[in-house]
Amino acid sequence: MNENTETQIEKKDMRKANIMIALILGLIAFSVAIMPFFYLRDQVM
Amino acid sequence: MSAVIHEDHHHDEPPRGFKRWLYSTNHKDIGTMYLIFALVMLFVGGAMAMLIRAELFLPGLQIVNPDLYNNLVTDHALVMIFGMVMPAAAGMANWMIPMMIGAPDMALPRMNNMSFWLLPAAAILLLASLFVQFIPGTGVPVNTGWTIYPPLSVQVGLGMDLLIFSVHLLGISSIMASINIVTTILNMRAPGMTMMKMPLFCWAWFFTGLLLIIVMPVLAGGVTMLLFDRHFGTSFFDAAGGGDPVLFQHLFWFFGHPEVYVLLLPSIGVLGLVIPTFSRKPLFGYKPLVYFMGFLFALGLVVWAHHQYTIGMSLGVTTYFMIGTILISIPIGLMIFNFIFTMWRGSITFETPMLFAIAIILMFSFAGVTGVMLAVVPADLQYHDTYFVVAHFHYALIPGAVFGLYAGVFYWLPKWTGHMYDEKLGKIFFWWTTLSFNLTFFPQHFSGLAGMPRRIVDYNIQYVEFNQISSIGAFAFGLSHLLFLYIIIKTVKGGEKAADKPWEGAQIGTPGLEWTLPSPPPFHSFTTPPKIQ
Ligand code: HEM
Ligand SMILES: [Cu+2]
Repeated sequence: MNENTETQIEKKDMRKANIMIALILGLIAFSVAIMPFFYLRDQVM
Repeated sequence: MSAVIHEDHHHDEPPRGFKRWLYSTNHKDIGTMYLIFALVMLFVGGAMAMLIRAELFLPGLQIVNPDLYNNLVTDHALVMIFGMVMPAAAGMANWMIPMMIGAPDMALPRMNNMSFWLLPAAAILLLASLFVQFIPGTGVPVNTGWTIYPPLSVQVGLGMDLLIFSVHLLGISSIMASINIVTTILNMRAPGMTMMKMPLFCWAWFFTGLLLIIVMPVLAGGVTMLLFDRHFGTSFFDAAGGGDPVLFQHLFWFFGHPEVYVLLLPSIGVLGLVIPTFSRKPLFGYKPLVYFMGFLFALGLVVWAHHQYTIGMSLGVTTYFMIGTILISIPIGLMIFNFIFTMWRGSITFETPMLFAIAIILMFSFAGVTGVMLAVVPADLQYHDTYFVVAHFHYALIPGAVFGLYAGVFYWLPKWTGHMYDEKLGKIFFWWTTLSFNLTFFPQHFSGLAGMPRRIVDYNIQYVEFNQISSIGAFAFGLSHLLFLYIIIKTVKGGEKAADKPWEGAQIGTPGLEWTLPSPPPFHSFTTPPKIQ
């Protein structure tokens, strides 16, 4: 919006890909975070 | 139409006032905030270290009571690791990676803002967990050490809950920062900037980011389970309820061992730039160095239990972790050789960053040697939980992580501020820190081998001399950082004007896009993608 058109095009191009990669990495992080909790089934609550 | 022009003008200049910082999505401003935050926390963690060393100057109790002492030990580690080294490295990543790869900014600038602003909140919680003990009725202070092992960590007071929430915020912050950095490196490189052309610092942060994404969530999960055990009647770590306290140790060190590479790797990345620059030779074996870091990344994930040899694992498991750990010294040793070969027959000059780099190679190798000693199970059964371990990891972390960051600070200060730092003061700072660092931690090898346990406020009379040398060294080490602060402030305020490329050898063997920008760089770095030859 503020820079010249060349960058604007490039920024628009990357935005989706950036979010995709971020989501994949976030999913990896989330899945490792919940892994320890699978010990829950062994617990006496 | 005029509105559009106005917009243009508005965005090329940094916004004024606090909004520039609070709402910032600019990688350089956020990088600066990270660096300032790290500098503040360096003094907070340093003050804790000074208290610890003052208490240990003599056996017996002088200044702090045992619980407060152990809380200081806990928070010194957490502040230095999460508050100082990691934010400083993230600040350098924010500042330099977009400029190195020719990107206009980080891939996800708004998330970048959030990653930073979670840190002050986390720091407040962490300090609250220390000070809450002075309010009556809040229970026992966090006297567990930074490893917060249950069952003790289930029994201590309110401070532990605050600490757990602080770790949550720190974890979210560094996971988001890592996602951002990895995405930036994958997606935002200028045309022609292939992965294998990136400066080593980018590769180092690439692996650091991946490591953090994999291990930080496990720590967050582990401390959440601790929180459940404390308040919600679960017994993940309580044998009486069918749980196992050793499970926490595995979760903690699955995070904790890779974490030491998280602290190390960014500094290795800095060395990969500083050493070629001041040797005026391309980096020796760039590609192998990338592979070594990849090897370190992979192997680093599967050797964690060398921190728990004493818990009674089966012979097979113990042997596996021992062999794995010893194998790690191979890529680390090879990296060191690559740096030495880079210097071989170079025309070396000894500016402050290079002095740090050379000292790092010497002192860090020493930590590698004590590391291999600790990796050997029968030996570690003797060394474990003594000052020998303290000496090992301070030799690994202060040269390996902290001095690497100092090298980075001196190397990039001209780029960041537009001024050269005072070389003479820089050299004085180098000699002062390096000598006092060795004075502090070298004797700890001996007190450790003689059996002095770590994390204890009092000690047997036989260790007095070693401890007094350590304390004197530590005070000198602490004091040297006032000079560091002075050098930085002086450079920010003024000084000799820095050229775009202040170091003659800076572009040798790398595209060096960051040096094609003015010093200091404009608010928006590359509005049009640069071309790589
Ligand atoms: C040759 C490579 C290395 C080997 C073989 C090695 C081995 C070990 C072993 C076996 C321990 C556990 C000692 C014990 O508690 O009994 C240990 C502790 C430690 N190491 Fe290393 N190490 C190496 C390099 C490093 C590096 C590069 C760093 C960081 C930059 C580091 C940081 C630490 C820390 C922080 C601890 C203590 C953690 C704690 O108990 O609080 N080490 N090391
Ligand atoms: Cu380890």
